[in-house]
Amino acid sequence: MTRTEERPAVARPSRTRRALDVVDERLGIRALEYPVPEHANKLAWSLGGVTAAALAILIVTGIFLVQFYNPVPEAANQSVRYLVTQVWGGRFVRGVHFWSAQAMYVTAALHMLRVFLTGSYKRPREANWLVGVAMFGLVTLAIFTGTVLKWDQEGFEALGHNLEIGKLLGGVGFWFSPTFAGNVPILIRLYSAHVVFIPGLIVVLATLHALLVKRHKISPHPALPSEGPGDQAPAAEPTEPFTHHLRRISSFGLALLGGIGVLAVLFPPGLGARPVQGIEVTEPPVTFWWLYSLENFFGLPAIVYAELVFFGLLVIVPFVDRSPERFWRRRPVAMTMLTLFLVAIVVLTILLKFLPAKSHLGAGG
Amino acid sequence: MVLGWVFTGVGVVAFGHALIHRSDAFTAADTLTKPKWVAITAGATAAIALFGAISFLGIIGVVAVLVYLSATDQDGVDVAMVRQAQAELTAGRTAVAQQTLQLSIAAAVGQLKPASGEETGTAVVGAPLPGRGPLTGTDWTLGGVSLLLLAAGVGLALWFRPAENLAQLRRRLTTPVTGTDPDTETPPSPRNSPEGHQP
Repeated sequence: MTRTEERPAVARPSRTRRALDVVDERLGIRALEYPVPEHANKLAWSLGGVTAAALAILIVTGIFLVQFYNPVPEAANQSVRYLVTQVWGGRFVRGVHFWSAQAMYVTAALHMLRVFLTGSYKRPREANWLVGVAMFGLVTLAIFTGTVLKWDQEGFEALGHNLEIGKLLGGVGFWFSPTFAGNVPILIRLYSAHVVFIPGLIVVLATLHALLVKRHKISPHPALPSEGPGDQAPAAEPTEPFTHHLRRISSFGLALLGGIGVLAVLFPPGLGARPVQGIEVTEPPVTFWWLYSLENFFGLPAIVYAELVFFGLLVIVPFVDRSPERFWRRRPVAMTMLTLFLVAIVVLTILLKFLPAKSHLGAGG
Repeated sequence: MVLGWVFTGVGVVAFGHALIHRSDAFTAADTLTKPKWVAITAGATAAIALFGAISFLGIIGVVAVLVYLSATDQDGVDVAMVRQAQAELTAGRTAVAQQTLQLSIAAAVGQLKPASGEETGTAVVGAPLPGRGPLTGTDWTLGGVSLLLLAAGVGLALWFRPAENLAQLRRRLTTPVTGTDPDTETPPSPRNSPEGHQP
């Protein structure tokens, strides 16, 4: 009622504004305009959003690839060849999918690094850190299953390693056993994981992740004063509507897509020969090199222990480091541990190039 | 005597096989045609049944039946498509020919037991897929569009960057107006949190 009285006093809004109002009245999109502290728009604080942009690119290109990929072992490798050589744009879309996966791994890792450096995993955000660690594990799984799907020698050897790991895990590794569903090729089960379960879980967890960020609000910048209790950014810090954050993330996402497109044109991912059982001649993707070095030292079971230690360390971070201090210079122990962790990964990654190649499969670990 | 019955049975199998299989499966092997093989296996089986396996005509019959059975079975191969693939290969279209050949044996492959578990599903080692080769027109177009997107993204990200940098923000937040302690140039100690959730 009051609206009708007010209407003449207000200047007539623009056409776009009125169109937005119509949509907003039905869908409530204005609810996204809630205020967020200005520091949330910095690149380092937008890396989670950039990771989400990479996920979006992966889903869109994945839908395209699924149309041409045949997950039957007899035809899998050939269907990728067909896609790359006969389908217009097939090589490009496959390249974009490949490079987005690498980008997502890197941006997710950088996002975690930022969260660690700014102590953003601390109370009350411990649970959200765990959600993030779970998503990082799922991204690793997605990269692994994606490697196997192309069904060339490298993918097949990766599968061989993981089947052995499944055996080592005993009952826990039952899903990763070719005999669990003996009538179905394991490639088809990995395919279903790669296109349904893993991305589905990532989307669900990402939603939870975002809702929890909204619930706890963006963590305060350690170099700025904070409210103290509840650890919120100070009320005095200027805010911007969340839609501006989305706008900045979309810009970064657009730049990411462009960069990935250039990489996809110049360095399209390769495809090896069809797999042969019982030989070991290839090298895993660079993201797994540190594991491979350990495997060369200690045999195949080292992969299991190293992954357990890797994710175990990530999981315990918020429970071991309970000091509320967020500024990196006042957290010498945390920074030392982080440096050791990163140096270990980098050194092991580089070491692979200096170690003689070894066979691990069928050696009984 | 027993041998005679056994080889009569084998001959009947060979005759039945020759009878029910498509005629193009015979020509593909570059051997005799279907009616000839049907006649041969029928005659051979009759000879074995009548004279026994260990007899002049019987032995000829056994050899004929075994030759037929040991010949490579061409069933399930679409010979017309094989010819088409041959033409494509001669024309230099290797990738297309490979695809045609793959399709030509679809029926035969359908009869195989499909791979299960961790079987590779292939017995032939191919070559790795060759790299991309020189950039084509499509590559240049896609690369160009990608570069434009990259530039647009970077431009927009700069355009939408936060109004203040960290130093400006800190100065603004530590001025007395905001009510925070003006002396804190470095971040304030969070010890002021009342719970003090340190172990």
